[in-house]
Amino acid sequence: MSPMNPPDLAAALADCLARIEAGASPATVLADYPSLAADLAPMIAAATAVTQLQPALPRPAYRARLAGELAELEARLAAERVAAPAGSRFGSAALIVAALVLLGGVVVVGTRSQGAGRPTAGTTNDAAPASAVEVRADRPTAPSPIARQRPPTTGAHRSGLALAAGRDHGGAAARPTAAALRPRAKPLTGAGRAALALPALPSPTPTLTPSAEPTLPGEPTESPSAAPRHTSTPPPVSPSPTAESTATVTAMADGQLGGRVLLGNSPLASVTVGIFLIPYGADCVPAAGAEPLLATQTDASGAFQLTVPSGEARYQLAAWGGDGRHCFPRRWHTGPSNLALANPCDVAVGRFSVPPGFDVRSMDIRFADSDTTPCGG
Amino acid sequence: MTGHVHILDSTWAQPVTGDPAASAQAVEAGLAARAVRGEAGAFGQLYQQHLDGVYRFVHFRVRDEALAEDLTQDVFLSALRHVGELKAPERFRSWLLTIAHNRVANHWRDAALRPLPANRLPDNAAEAAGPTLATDEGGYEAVALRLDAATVLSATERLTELQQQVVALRFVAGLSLAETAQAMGRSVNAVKNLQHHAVASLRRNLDPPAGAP
Repeated sequence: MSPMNPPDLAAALADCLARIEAGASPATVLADYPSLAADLAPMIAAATAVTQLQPALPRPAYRARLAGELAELEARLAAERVAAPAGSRFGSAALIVAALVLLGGVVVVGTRSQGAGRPTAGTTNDAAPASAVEVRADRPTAPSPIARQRPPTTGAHRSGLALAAGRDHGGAAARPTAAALRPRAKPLTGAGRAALALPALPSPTPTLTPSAEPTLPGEPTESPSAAPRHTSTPPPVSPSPTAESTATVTAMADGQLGGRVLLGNSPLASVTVGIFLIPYGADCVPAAGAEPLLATQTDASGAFQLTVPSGEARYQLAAWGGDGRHCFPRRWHTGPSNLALANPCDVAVGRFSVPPGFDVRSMDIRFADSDTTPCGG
Repeated sequence: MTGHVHILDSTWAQPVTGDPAASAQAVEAGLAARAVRGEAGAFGQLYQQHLDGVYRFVHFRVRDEALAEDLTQDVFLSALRHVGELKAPERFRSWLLTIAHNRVANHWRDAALRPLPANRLPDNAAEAAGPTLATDEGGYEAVALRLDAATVLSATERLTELQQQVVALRFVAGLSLAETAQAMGRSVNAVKNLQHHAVASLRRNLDPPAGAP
């Protein structure tokens, strides 16, 4: 063993590792420590071996599920931030009243304190106490698109076809099974799925009421004085004639999303239609491992219908499969020309909004002859 | 009732190019600053950029997929709750990994679940013994050539808890010495020495036993 001063060796090792991390070669840095090189070299090799370990990566299903939970939490925190100033004011008022009572000064302030930040219904203050802004308990949570029990697949379109097999064409029947959707670990509860990386949609301004009914951003209140539905909806225009579209769907309750799948103007039967949840913070559905949140098959008239879960989310709608004579892969398109690209984020996007409270919305999916692929091959 | 689809934006999404991990620090700092301000979507992008790194770090520390998923989830949920308190957005990554480091440490401490491997030394044992570095002629290249992943993982498992912490933060998470010191709540010099002992122990653990072929 060569004589050494451990602190010096520690400093030399730290310097060598830092320089290697910055891009220097081990030989270069060792050359600067000729007397310690014999000691440093094997240690540098050991450290390098750790950095070169094959990284463990999270499962795509886990990635998507956690993204959804983060979205829910962020929506809840945003709602709490909106309500916090009002809550603070009420809290301060309650403290002042309590202090006055303790001092024996009977002062009539005309406001009854019912606990911190909980004003009497009908108060003229139109701000909500913080306690009123909570997640609606009876609001169903949008199911996680992928569950731990369901192993990720690489042939997403094939698994989508399998998912749709044997189902009728009703939207409710297209729901994945509960077991397949059950989150594995510590799911957040209560809030419907809410996407935060949403495009700028004309959603209603959050309205806070002093009632016990909580609200979420973007949700219309259920106050009798609430504005009529759809007032913020832009005028309708023609649907995008692409096979896949990204939809930003807002639904108070589960709603129906339906349409027809066409080849030119001819209906396509037995084609699978799926809706995919775009992962939180992502621009698109990843090409590999993506599984549809919901899927169904078109009927003889080419019609499909899916039940979209309540809440806000960014979805991508796709059709694939075939009717025995015409078959289509699930491909990602990059524009009106329907060019198929391998890049998973080359998504054909025609954003559309389904306003709160919708019953049925339609969207036709139109394939071109150039989209067809040999069947059974 | 059948309605119409309302096309709000007919622009097409741009392909995502480049490796998110290669994003400039300035871009990340900007994203983190937006997240600190509570801007919608910013934290989501940070999540996409850092999930792999955090998961990798946690997985290396716990060596269990399910537990790594649980702890990683806790890390991001906690980070989202507290991102508004982040004072230096440009240090978002080290801040996030500090949360991960603490979460793993708390897991073992609070649950008292961590079994001490039979061949695992308690903290300070290796330091007390002092490094016994090989001085054979192998050198850097020779050592590097004979390592495989299982051997390396096994060697790290035989480190002390503190040594594992520093190895994970420095060489798995990729934090600098200063960032590692901050995450561990120790001085840079202390971590520098700890790193030395950890790597020296790792080096010894990677050596085949005497007499082995």
